[in-house]
Amino acid sequence: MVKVGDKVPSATLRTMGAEGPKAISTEELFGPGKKVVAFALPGAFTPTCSAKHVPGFVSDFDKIKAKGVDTIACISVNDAFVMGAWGKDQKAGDKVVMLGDGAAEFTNAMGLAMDLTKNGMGVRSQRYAMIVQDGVIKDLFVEKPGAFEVSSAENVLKHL
Amino acid sequence: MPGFLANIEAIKGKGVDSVACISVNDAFVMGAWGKDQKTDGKILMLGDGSGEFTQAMGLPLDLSKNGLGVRSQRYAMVVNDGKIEQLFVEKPGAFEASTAENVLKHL
Repeated sequence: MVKVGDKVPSATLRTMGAEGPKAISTEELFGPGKKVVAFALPGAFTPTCSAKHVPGFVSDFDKIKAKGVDTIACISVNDAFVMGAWGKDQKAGDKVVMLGDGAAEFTNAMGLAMDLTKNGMGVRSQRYAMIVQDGVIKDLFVEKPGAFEVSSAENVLKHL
Repeated sequence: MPGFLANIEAIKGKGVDSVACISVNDAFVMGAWGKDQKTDGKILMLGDGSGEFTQAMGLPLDLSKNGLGVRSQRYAMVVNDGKIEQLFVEKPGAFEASTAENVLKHL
C-alpha cells in the first residue's frame, strides 16, 4: 500500500465526456502545481457511497475549494459509463470529477484493492481519501472494512 | 435493451417465462440501469459482477486496455429446461444476431 510521502502511482483513469469515455492520466490529474482531494469507494450506486460519501464532498465543495484545492475527484472500480450516470444521479455536476478505474489499474497500483468476488462484485477499491499536493500523497485516510469515518469530507477538511 | 423491452409481449407470447439481461456489473449498477431504462420488472436485470457466469459460459471479453476490465461478449440465447437451444454470439462490435428481432424469429 502507498504511504504518506509517496508519489501517486502512474495509471490511466477515465471520465465520461460529451463524446464518450475520456482517458486522464494520474500525471494530468495530480500533476505539478495542483492540490487535489481524491476519495475512492467500493462501488457506484451502492448504499454508503451514494447516501454519504459522495454527498459529503458535493455539499462541502465550497469549503474544500476555499482551502486551495484545485480538484475533488471520486474514484471507483466501475467504468466511465457507470461513473458518468452515477455523477448525474448524485448531482455531482462540475464539483466532483467522477473517475472510473474499470480495470482496477490505479487501485492495484495504490495497493488498495479489495476482493469482493464472493459477493459478486469482483475486485474493488477499499474506501479511502487522500490529499495530494504536486503529485505527492500528503495525507491518506484508509477506512477499516465497513467503516465510514476518516475518509469523509468532514475529516478531510480538518486536514487541509 | 430497448429492443427486448419493445418486443416483450411478442416474446412472452411465444411461451417464454423470463427475459433476462446479464452483464459484468454489480447488482447496484444493474438495478440503477434497469430504472434508467424503465424496464419496470419486465426484464430481469442480472449482475455477474465477478464474471463467474460469463467465464463459465466461455464468453468473456478482455477490455482492460479500455479501462473496462473483463466483460461479457454480446450474445443472446434461448434456454429451455436449462438447456441452451439457441446461441447467438455477436462478432466483435456487431449488433445483429443477438437482437430481440432475431431471437423472436427463432422462438
